[in-house]
Amino acid sequence: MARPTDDRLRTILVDMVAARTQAGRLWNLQRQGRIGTLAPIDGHEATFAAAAHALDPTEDWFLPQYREPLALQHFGPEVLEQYVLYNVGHPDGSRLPESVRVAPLQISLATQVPHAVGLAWGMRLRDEPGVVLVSFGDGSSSEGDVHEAMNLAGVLRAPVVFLCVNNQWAISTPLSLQTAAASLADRAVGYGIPGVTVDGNDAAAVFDAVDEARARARSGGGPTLVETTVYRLAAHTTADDPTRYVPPEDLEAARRDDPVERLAAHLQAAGLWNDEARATVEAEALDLLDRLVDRAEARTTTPDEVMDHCFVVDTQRMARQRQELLETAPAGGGPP
Amino acid sequence: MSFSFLLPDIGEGLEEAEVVEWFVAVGQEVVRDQPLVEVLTDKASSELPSPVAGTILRLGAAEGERLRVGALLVEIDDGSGDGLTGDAPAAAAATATAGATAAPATRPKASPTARPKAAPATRRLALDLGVDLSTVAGTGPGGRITADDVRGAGTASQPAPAASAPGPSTTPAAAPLPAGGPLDLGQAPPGRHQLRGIRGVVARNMAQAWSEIPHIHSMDEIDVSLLVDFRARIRAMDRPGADAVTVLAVAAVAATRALLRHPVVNAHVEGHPGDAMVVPDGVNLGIATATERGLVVPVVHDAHRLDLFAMAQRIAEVTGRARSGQATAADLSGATFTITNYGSLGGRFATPIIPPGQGAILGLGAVAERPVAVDGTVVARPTLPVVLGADHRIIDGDLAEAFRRAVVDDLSEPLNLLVGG
Repeated sequence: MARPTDDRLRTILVDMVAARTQAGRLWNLQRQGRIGTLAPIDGHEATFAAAAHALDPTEDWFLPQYREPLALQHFGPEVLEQYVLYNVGHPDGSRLPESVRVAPLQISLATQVPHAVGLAWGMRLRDEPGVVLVSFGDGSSSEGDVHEAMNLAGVLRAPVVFLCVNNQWAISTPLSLQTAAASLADRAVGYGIPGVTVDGNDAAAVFDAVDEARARARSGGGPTLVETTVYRLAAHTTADDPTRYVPPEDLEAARRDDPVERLAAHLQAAGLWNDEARATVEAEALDLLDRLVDRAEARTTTPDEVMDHCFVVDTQRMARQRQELLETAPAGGGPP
Repeated sequence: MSFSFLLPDIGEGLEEAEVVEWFVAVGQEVVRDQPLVEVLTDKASSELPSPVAGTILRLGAAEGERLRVGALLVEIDDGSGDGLTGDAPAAAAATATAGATAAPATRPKASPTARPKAAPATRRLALDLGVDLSTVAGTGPGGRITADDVRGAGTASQPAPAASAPGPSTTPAAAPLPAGGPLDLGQAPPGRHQLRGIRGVVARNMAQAWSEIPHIHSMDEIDVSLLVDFRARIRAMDRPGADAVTVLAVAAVAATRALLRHPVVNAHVEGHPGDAMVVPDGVNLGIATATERGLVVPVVHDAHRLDLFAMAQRIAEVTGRARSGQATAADLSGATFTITNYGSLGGRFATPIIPPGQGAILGLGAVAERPVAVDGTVVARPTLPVVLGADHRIIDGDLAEAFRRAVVDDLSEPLNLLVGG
């Protein structure tokens, strides 16, 4: 449909470089004991940022798994701010302002996929114009939820873009042990919806594919499965040691196809990017992150705040837990 | 004015870590996010970057020492206030306080009805050592039971009587590891135990190999008088690496030469019961190694390119990494032929099992003086028992004997190593 302009690609690259830079600092913060378990974004930047830019943040939704937020600046600065708060361990980190059309992180794999179909179906029933993009990985694609959600979306012609980000590894399980299918996009046939595989390291290709899927959904054409192939360049999470299972030669080959360097080279050739621009983006990204971390660490939380995020009315067990927390927690609240 | 960097929980429910290597020294200037130290946890080795810029004042542990989460890792003069009350992460500070002030003996014993607080790896350790976690007082953050607590309880002969004593010894630094002698092998409490981790992998591999590969074994006992002399003379040489030259290293060179002469012994069968024979382009030697965690087979890659000294050095490197738990995935994969030095445990003859994906295995028994007939007289000579295990689908008896003969020739007269294969 629409190949993004170089100006658009430059905006995407800025988001990608900021995400890569902030991911490095967040990794260090985890190793310094200041934030919790973290899933690095390295290698996924082009897919996440380009997919976000193909959406309209005032009408469309982006439902992430847990690796996406650093690349979602297009949906507003609150996404990063809440992501940092979440990583510091504050329960409020999962609460985004209602105007921000990004859902909280899902640690439980693939649960966001049925959510996306329900959300999209509801928007259709209410005659809202937007679409829902839901992001999940090759590992998640084996979950039953994904099958049920895609099947129902096909039947309902719900306005959903299923973004299956195939990074070749489900923690330590390689794609060859994940599926016998030639491609994950092939599954679309079984749900009666279009499926396409694109190079997830190519921001323009991802933008183009998501843009086309979005246009189809908005015009009543129903859902599309977009598989983007990338390679996870860092650990699965801070609790993982990929040197135990990732073949070094595969990783080396993937590094030569680094999505950030690829787009940077393209825009440099077009005269829209240089080392100075990169240094500026990196410095600003680090500065912003540091300020957000300081702010998040200054926040306190209370036992009530921990419990208030679960149910409107406590279950019996929660009421007991709330009581226990109140008895043991320091008065006036403490660090998250 | 300093910042105290306390060992953080960099895993998920980590209790302790071993300091592997310091990248900085006292007095050194560091910048923020500069790697300070490599630590090894239950899961992985990790580099910890500096939280602040400044000058290193003190290292909290020497290389090789274990530190508990919340203990002081390094103190850095960053020109600010006291790290414990200043910039330090509040959660870590709280952990440190608990760790520093709560003497083990004052911790209440866990109530028998409450589920003991301990990480999965610690619960596993308790199971392995036969320690009942409900009898162990936790000294970790929030009363959590640490691995050292379990080891301490495991070395106490009996759980302390409930009312009188303060509980099993919980002095973490003093708690020794299990002694590791033969008497400690084969311990497990009565009951059903899932085969997990390395034990599970070993179980599956052995069952697959034993049920799929029709084994034949060929045994011999070699008079190694000349080899013993050869090795003693090499070791007396003033050359770097001479100390690493062992009977195993010589046998590895001999086996590699024999594999080059008979490539089918280096091959393996694909498919079950057998579709194809795959002959590799080179020799990767697996060296079966007993470790604290079970049997591991690190691999010397491209063994056919190594001379005796290089072979000896590579064997020492890969088995060393396997024993210290630092073997990489590459270290553990790709073997085309395996040598098991079961004689290091004292045995004479054994019938080793061929690892899946290989076609043969060489076993080495213990070298000892045994009676040998020489020119009609029985004399005492150092002998080396050897066993070749072979996949009978691709290796006939005559090939097995030819291969074994080639190895035996080199080991009984090491001058053969000078002659091209």
